[in-house]
Amino acid sequence: MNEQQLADLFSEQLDLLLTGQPSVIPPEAGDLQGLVDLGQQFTHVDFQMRPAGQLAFQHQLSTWFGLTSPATSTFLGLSKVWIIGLIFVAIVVGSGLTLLSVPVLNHWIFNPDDGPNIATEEPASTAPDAPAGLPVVLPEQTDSTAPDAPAETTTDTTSSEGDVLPNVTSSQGDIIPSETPLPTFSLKDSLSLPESAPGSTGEMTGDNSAITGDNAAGESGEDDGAGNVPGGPTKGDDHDRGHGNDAGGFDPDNPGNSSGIGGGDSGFDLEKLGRGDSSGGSQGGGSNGSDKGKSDDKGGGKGNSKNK
Amino acid sequence: MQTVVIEEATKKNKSDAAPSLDFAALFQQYYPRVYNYLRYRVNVPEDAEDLMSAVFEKAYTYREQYDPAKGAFSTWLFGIAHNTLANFYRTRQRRSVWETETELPEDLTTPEVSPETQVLHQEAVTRLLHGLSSLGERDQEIISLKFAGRLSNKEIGQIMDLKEKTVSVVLLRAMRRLQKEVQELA
Repeated sequence: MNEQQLADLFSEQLDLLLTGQPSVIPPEAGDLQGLVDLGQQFTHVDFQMRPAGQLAFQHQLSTWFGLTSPATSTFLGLSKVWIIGLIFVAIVVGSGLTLLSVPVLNHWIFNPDDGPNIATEEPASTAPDAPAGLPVVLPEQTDSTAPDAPAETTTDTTSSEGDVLPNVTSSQGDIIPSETPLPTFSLKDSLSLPESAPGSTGEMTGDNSAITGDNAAGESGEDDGAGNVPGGPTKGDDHDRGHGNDAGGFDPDNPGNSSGIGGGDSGFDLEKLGRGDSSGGSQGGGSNGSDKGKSDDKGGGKGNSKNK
Repeated sequence: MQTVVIEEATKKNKSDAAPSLDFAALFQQYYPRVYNYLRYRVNVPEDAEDLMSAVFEKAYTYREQYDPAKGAFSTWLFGIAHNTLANFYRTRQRRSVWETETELPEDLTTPEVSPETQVLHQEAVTRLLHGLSSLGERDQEIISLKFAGRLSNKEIGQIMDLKEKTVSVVLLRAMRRLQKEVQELA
């Protein structure tokens, strides 16, 4: 074998040696085996960079290519940036919840009665236990004459403000909760009417003459002819407004509501009204239907003013 | 580290021809071999580290000039290392780095063997490095590129501007001279 052939064979054996494969030297190769053994010694000569040098080189690579440094500390797989961000978000959320809870706690601590009041107001206004098909009985309407309406009994109660409030009980025995805050109504006047005129709750229908008889006695001469009820809304020529129980739509001030319950015939008889003696009694009973007669009465209807 | 072979490098070189190269990964892959090559030629670890930093800084700076069609990445990178080392020798006017070295270097890894075998290994390596340092510049360079850089004769020829056949002959002659030097040291 010439030198070139030996050199090529030697290079092949070195490549096998470097790949970890065993080298096979033919016998005619001469001293080639000794050279391969010498080359095998080089495979054990391996220099490794010191740790400080490796860190410096990794830092240089991270500077060049923006690689993450292996020395970056992590906690539960999260980097410092994520941990700080999560802590910040937790602080912000906690502060927000604290600020929101302060007014709520103040409301509960310093206003403990607000909760129950709210609960009692709602059923009073809607009357959920009222029978289907029956109108909701409001405190104003309890004193009206309604012969066809379900029997209702009223029990006066006194609110914290001193107003007399009714507890309305329907014919089925359901108690409609009372309304406490109705400041716009003057309940005291209308609720006291039944006591002043007991006959107005049904007995008045068709019996106006008896009532007017009392009025005709002239005992109520002190009345001004209009104010049948102390504190009553009507006076003199003032027509009743808002009750709307005028039967037959006779009330010129409130014609649209004239078909209300309990309008009845009481006080509607123009002939009796014309005599001027029937309106006084009917008005004293609080019958809304008789208000027409009252208002038209200018002289004789003064007697009931003594009642209340 | 020792198991890295030329064929592996050749496969990697084929993948280096991709349009977009991950130079960071390539640097991570090749820097141990480059350092090992430099340490074969330089006896001071700090000098080798400085040289390696200079080599990769040049590679990073001129990475856009690398053309996979012209050669493998290992050839291009070890070419930079070869030129950097030549400039280092020219500046310091030092021919060999192992002339005065008598002890085994600290950064030299030794195989996991028995203490007795390890002592024999260290003595053999010391003689080998001293014998290498007694060789000529080209002999040292071709041996270092072959065993430390684990390059093929073709790649060595591209770096040293030699034909592949010439590399084989030069390598054979260099190993014969080294064998003679080691025998004399023993």
